[in-house]
Amino acid sequence: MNVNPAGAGSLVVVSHSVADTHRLASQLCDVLRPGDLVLLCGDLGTGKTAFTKGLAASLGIDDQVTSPTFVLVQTYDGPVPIVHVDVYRLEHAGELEALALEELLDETAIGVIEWGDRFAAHLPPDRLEIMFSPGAGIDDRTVVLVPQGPSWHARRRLLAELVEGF
Amino acid sequence: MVILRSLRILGIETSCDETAAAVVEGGSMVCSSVVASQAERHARFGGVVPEIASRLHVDVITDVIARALVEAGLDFPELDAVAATHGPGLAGALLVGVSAAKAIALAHGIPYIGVNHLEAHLYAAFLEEPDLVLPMVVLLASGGHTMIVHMIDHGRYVVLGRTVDDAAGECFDKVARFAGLGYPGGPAIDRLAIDGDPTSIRFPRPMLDEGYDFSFSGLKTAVINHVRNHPDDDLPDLCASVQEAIVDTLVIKLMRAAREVDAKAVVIGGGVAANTALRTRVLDEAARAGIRAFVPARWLCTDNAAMIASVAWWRLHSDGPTSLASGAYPNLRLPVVG
Ligand SMILES: Nc1ncnc2c1ncn2[C@@H]1O[C@H](COP(=O)(O)OP(=O)(O)O)[C@@H](O)[C@H]1O
Ligand SMILES: [Mg+2]
Repeated sequence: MNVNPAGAGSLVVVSHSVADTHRLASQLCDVLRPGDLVLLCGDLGTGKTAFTKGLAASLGIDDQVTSPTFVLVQTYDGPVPIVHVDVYRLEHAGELEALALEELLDETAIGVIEWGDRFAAHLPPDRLEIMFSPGAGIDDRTVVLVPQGPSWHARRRLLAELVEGF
Repeated sequence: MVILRSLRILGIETSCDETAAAVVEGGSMVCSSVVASQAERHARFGGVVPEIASRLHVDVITDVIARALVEAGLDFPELDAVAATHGPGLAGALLVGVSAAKAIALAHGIPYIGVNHLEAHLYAAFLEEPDLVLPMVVLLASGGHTMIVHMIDHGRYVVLGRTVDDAAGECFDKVARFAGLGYPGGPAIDRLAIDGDPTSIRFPRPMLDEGYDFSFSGLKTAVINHVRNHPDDDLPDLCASVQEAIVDTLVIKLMRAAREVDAKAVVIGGGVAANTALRTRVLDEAARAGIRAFVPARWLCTDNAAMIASVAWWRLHSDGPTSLASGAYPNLRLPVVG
């Protein structure tokens, strides 16, 4: 994985493999805290679920993480639990309300929402957005980290170091 | 025992897309089966969503139950038990069926049986073939599940493998939506594939040599990459090739499992089992291997309430009625031995 110097303030890395994406997730674990919210954005097959698998493994979760598209919400218990949400099938903000996310996303767990950008305005503003897009090679993914809100702006330096050291 | 044999059970299914009710006698004789599909109403939403699904279930459940009784030529007092899917599924949707069943049980003084939806799919084949031989190996594939189950005996299951990422039906649906074919995508691909050449594009068959687990996210990604790079490709060829890759993967593992556990029969179930190419291939491969194959009618593969009433008959015999104090279990898993 190498640093992409696109724009001064941007936090961009290129992942060249699933293993790279898992490594990124694992390093991000050092920056994440219980109660955090992460939105995973990007088209089908860009690695949102693959990233979540890496995150779960690094957090010490034993369960197999599978795509939550059908079940919408799946909670994985562990030292730090993950609440894994997928809003791919939702069309309206009203449907998002029916999921009662505010009850699910508690202080002790890390919330991960695939396709979160589809309802960005309706989700808590303090969050890390991660944008995945296809890269040049078949296994390349451009990954952009976008810290949003006070707690994530405070951690911007940590993210920059992570990106640089990759 | 004679009395038990002829028990008439009303089954109710509301765990996902469909609102369904059916009356089955003696575990395998279908007296009626009504399915009010919500798929059409959901088509414009691109999927099933819990809030909408539970509201639509509430709208139609009373009518669906009434129609199931009329078709069976029965009234409530002639029922011996009532069953409903209590998991897995969307909590709000499950509660509609569970509440209706418990109300009927209470009002008419008959036993209530809460049913596992996945186990019910395993029993769908018995409705056509009451003398199905065990042990058998079942491929259960739908929008939310993909697993190979070794059914050793009634109520005794071992999950030999399952998907590690996307379900087979999810792969069909996502690819179809990406190619602009709408929702649900499985039937659209099935239809278009008829006029396509399944060998035109060689898509990967992930994890083919790695046990009985499946991985469909890599296939999904390969198809999407292909569509991105060849936007003008012939749609029937694309559909036929995707379908071929999915069917290949499912059937190769199913047959390998059947040989390994020395199963007497292979069975398919779940929404993906309605796929024409899968049905044909399972019959062909089983014939070649000298194993019996049961490919239930399409209406028995997709969600229905007859399978709920059928498994309820078996569960009533083995476990007795379910307490009226029990609820809905969104994360319920298939009960396994060992
Ligand atoms: N660099 C990469 N990062 C993540 N996934 C990758 C990468 N290269 C290839 N892949 C493959 O792409 C697929 C991503 O699928 P998935 O995680 O389900 O995507 P999404 O959840 O975004 O739809 C997986 O099959 C994975 O093996
Ligand atoms: Mg995903």
